[in-house]
Amino acid sequence: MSLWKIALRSIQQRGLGSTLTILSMALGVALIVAVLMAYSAVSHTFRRGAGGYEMIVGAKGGAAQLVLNTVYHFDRPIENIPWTFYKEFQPGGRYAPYVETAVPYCLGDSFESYRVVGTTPAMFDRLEYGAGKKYQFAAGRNFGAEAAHAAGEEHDHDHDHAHEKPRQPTMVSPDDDEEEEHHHDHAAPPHFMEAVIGSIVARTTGLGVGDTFEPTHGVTEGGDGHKHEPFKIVGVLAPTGTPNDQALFVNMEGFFLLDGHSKSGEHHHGPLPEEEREVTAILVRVNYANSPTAAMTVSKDINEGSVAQAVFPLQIISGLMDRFIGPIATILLVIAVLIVVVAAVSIVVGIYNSMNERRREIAIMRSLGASRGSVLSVVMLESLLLALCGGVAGFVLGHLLIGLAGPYILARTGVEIGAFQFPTMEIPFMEGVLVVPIELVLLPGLVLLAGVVGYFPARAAYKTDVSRALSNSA
Amino acid sequence: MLLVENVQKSFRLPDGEPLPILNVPRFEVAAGEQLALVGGSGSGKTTLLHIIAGISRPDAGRVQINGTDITQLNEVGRDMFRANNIGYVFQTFNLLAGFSALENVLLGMSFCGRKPDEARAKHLLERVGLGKRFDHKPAMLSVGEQQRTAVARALVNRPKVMLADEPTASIDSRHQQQVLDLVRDTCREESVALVVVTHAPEVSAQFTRVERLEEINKVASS
Repeated sequence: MSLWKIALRSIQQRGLGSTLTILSMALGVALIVAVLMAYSAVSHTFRRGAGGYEMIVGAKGGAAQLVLNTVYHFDRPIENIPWTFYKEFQPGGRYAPYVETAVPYCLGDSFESYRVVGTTPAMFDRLEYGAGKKYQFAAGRNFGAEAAHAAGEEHDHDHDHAHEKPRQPTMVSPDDDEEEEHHHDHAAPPHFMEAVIGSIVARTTGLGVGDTFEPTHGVTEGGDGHKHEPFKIVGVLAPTGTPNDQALFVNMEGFFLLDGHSKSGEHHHGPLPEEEREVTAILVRVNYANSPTAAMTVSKDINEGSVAQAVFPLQIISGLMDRFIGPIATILLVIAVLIVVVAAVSIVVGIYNSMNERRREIAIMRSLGASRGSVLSVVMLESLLLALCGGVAGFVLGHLLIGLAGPYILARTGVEIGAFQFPTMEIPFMEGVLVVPIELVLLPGLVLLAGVVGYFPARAAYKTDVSRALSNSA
Repeated sequence: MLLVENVQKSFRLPDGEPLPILNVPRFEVAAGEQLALVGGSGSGKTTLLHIIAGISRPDAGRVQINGTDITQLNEVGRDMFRANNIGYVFQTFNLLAGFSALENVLLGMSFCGRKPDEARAKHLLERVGLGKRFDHKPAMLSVGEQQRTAVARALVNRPKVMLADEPTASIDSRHQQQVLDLVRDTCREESVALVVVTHAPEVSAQFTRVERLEEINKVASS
């Protein structure tokens, strides 16, 4: 009979005590797993929020505020920047050589508790929501003339030549999609009033393709109560796990025509003249082909000027994570680790409490020829088995809890988290980095902990006076 | 087979003074021989058994079993020697409660450095009349059955010497003879030297060789 089996039998013999010990260990490990999974998901979601572009250009002010309201739709927008500044990113503009794609981003309206964003079709055609992850439509199509035409929907072609004009080279300009209309102040074409909505918005509001919604002026829930003209939903985005799941995107041309969205405050019925236009931010994908330092060149130039600021969202997000979410996660982790340590101590207490009974068993084994090393090993193995059973149960429990809470967390926070997500950590290895699931690192940790706490009762077992224990049992 | 020579053992009192327990000039048991060692309480019989089994070490003297002086072995060596050469039956059976009858017997084979022979363990349980009780835990066995399991465990490694410390003292009179016969018969069949410690005259009366511990232990006699 192997020492493993002897240890297992000993655990089985003390069924209730063993179960309670395993349970307390499982709860501690489940808490660690849940905290790690949640932190990993939040961190991933935060970083992926700005995964499709390197730079955000917006009005001068707080860099974090610019990132928070552009990427996460938190907080109020700082201010707007002039349309002429946005034009600098277009062909012929001073930043054009450094830019691959520049997408305008207009904020200021909301629908229920969700932000309404005015932008161009390039938001979904040319930007990605993560590395190599293109936006997909769960239903319908992108807004704009080109998408409508591709879908075979006929609009008023007097206003809709975008698809006929070649893109140069991949710059995004209102000229690409809604060109020429700027100079004709008459009725807006239907695609101006089209919208695409995020997956969470679709699920929670019940809105779908073909439905309309009326944005409210202002970014707080309910805004100022003033309702705008309705937009028609032509597409529902597939889930991205980013804050964009919780936003409604409207054609910027239609957005400009809403009350109070022109610089002068005048209401226009056709395309808004350029001098009346402003944008809240510009999402920029840098073109490194012409200059490896393109991002630094552009940001330095913008930040030295007086009109706008350029920020690198991932840098800001990492800073925010390290400053706010990181410490909270660390505190939770410390608490969880303490729970595991308490559970480990309960293993020692459990074994010590049964030491009188064990002394007799140890003496019997010794009389049968077991060495001191063998009885030490049996007690250590028992501690290890208890810790491992608790650990495995904890992993399952932690993943199960997160799996059950996942849909609720997604609906409330937009953070996508599922039972089968395995948080990873990077370990420097050779000349590269090894990405390993954290749980694989936790397992040796538990083994080590079990070894440390199991050593104390094992040592007592090791030192058992066999003659005395046998005499006492006689 | 078994030779005990000039074995002395003292315990230390709380004040540091030694308390002599054993002083055995010499006694021998041949292979297959059966000896009843008779002695009253405190005569040092359990201490002597522990020394013969290598559980305790004498202060002086030697214990030779099948040519090996176990007092010259280190603790690990004595443990291994005990596992392979000595069977031990206790007054209180000393079965492990969490293990089945078969597992208790197999436990006896777990520390001898060889692969456990389950067929041998089952054969011995059948030999002691527990062929249908392999999976029964000690609590499900009668006291007589528990002691028979302990006998099977003691014999499982084909020991050269069997030590039995009051093997019938905890058993009702109906089962006493049964267990004693079993121990003696199986030892005879396997040519095992048997040393039975007892204070019961009806037990010692059945042995052709009976030694009084008070006579072989000079400490007890003084």
